[in-house]
Amino acid sequence: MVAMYRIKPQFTNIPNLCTQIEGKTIALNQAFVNTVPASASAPERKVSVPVATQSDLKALYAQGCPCVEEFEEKLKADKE
Amino acid sequence: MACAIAALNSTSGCPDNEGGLQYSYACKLTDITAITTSSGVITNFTMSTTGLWKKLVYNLDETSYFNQQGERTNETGALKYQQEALLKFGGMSSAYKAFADDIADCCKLVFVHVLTNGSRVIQGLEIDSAAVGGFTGTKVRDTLVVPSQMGGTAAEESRLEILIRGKGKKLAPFTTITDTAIEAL
Repeated sequence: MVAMYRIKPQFTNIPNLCTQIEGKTIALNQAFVNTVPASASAPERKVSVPVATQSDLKALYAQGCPCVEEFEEKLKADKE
Repeated sequence: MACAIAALNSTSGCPDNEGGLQYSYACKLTDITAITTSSGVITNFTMSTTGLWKKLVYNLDETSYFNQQGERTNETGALKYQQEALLKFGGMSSAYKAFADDIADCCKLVFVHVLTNGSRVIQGLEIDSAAVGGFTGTKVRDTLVVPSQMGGTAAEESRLEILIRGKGKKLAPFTTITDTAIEAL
């Protein structure tokens, strides 16, 4: 068995769910591109938000993020 | 929270007691999906998408404030805190009108106020580990704004004043989130 991390079911229906980990913005359900509207000081730009890795989710879980839960997944060797 | 009394001393270490606000960030309560806390301090936000926090840069003329007046009904009744902030933007324009009209339509707002002493305190949100996402809005009265556009006379300053009021069961929580993080979120 190996510990894995995933988004809790009650938060999986928010497509652009995102947070910060170690100074980077990550998407929790799926990668997405956000368009930042033009402002007085900057033109419109698109920001790509990558989806969280297992390492990111593990770090968020360790921090106590209420959106992430731990579960155990059987390794291939365990299944055999 | 259980009854407890900790030692407290403001006469050692010269704490920074400068009042006032430097600038703030604002979003709708519904933009926030969850918070992460450590020892009662908010360390991270999970948002419904990026780019929802808006920076509010107002006049630094010693008029901005964030106060939390405690009150008990009949001296021994339930404790509540009337939270009130004032942000003053000098001038008068169509852009100010649009900003004021839009934000006044929001019925539950959250503000991160960056105090003059560098601390960051959150108006409009209460930590609640039993709630989905670990938070609620201010529990007694929603946090919303009352804008006032003051044209003034030629001897005065025209200005937009944003009065932010709500009522909570607890004092507003602090956060460690940085400008860089909140602007990237």
